[in-house]
Amino acid sequence: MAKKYDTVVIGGGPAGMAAAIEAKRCGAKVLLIERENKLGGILNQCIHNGFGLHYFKEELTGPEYAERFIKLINWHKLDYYTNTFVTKINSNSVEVISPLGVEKIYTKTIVLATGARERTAGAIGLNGTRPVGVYTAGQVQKMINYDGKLPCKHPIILGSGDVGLIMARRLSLEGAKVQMVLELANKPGGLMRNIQQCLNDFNIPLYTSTTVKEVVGTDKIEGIYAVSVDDKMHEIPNSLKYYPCDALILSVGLIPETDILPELKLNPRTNGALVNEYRETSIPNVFSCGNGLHVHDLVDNVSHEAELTGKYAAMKAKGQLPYGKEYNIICGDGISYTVPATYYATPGNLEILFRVRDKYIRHNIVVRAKNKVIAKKFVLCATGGTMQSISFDKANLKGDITISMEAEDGK
Amino acid sequence: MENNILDTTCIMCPMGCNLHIEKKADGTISVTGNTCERGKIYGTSEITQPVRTLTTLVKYKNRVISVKTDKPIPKSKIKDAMKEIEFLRPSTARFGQTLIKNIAGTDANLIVTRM
Repeated sequence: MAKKYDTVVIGGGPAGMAAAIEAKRCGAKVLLIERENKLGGILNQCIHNGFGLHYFKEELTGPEYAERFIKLINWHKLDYYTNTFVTKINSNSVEVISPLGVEKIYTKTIVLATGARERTAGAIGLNGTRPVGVYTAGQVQKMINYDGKLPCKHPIILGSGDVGLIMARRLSLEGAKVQMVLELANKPGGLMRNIQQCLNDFNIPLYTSTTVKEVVGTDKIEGIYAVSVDDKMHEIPNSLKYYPCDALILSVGLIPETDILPELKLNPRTNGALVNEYRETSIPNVFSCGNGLHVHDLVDNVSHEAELTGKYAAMKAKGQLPYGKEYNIICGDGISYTVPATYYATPGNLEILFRVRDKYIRHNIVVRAKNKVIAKKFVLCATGGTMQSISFDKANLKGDITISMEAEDGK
Repeated sequence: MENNILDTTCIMCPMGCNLHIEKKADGTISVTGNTCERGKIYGTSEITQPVRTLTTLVKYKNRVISVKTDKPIPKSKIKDAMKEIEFLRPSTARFGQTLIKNIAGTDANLIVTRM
């Protein structure tokens, strides 16, 4: 007998777990599918603290945050498969492979919660050889925090994203001497608090406007050539310098994982699916949330967004999702992208998540329909590294809306 | 003398104010460069006694389990705490269990966060 569900959620990380629980709460018959041997996703290897301050109002480590949701999954007696890989998504089913074999599972709606992948040496066009010792930060995190193996003693980190900074601290605590962190941009990529707690606390130097020119080594990495760049990202002559190292760790960004469904229409800014107000993708009945939709900086926001998505997927399965006329949400001054990209002219609340292009001190987030201000929110400080949101009542709202950053005094 | 003046970046929000903190001879502390009250509180604690939550691993049977201090401990105690943890080989462990009470002489306990 073929199994039949209302909603199948793909990915048992923070997004998938929250979406599955909420869909079940809304009365749907739900199946959650996870590739690894346990639920929790990337949280299981993020043993550092700083999670949950918004969602649970207390500071937790990654595994503790995951454990809260796993408990809820068990409490709701939610069906889930681990060690199971989705091989194909059809219009009314998913095909999976698991230790039990190959299986086709019928479903009315699908939630993609497949997370993000790290940019690799190939993705950034890193020059030189490809010896052992060139890792991504997440790989090193898994080796240390999950397998208990320290893969290097004198690493150099390229990229100042948060995962790289967190790993600089972990490596230092485990006895490695992190020589330096190189960052191509003229300012650090990660959160300020991570620069302070992960680099400054351990006297690890950060060189901005600097990158790796070439990797050296045949079997095992021997060192790197670093080069400084100017404002236009052009190499500064004679700035080339050789540094020996036993690992180069890349922390150069994440890309939403959408390979499972190549026909998805993507947002060119996020590389995640283009979604409507209900987080439904260009393929009807297929929804997307979490880092697989757009890369978040806080797991708390992932949980919140995934709950919304789970609710909508359950409503769609039951034929209760109200579609009105669809209008665009346009990125105005200072806005890099918005999720969702459109809204429906239906009653209710509209929450827009977005990122800004620059650093804005004392600005208003302003939403306009034609020239009429629909919503306004003051922010003391907004940067590209921190996701912003604005929420308002959209009853009687019609037409395309524009969201922009405006200086407090109206300039 | 070197501990009486500290220039650092406030980490309380993404604004990242550049703080200049001074401990005067009479023990009073001045914080400048901050935008809000939270920066003043952060700056004061950074020059008197900076604290951090320690998260790391403990060897357990043939694998590692993750642990944390259940409250932040003084930064100066982190090395001592890591030494205590290095040789710890618990015979049993479960999620949330205390493995070391008052680690490195602080009032924090080391607890299991992942099995």
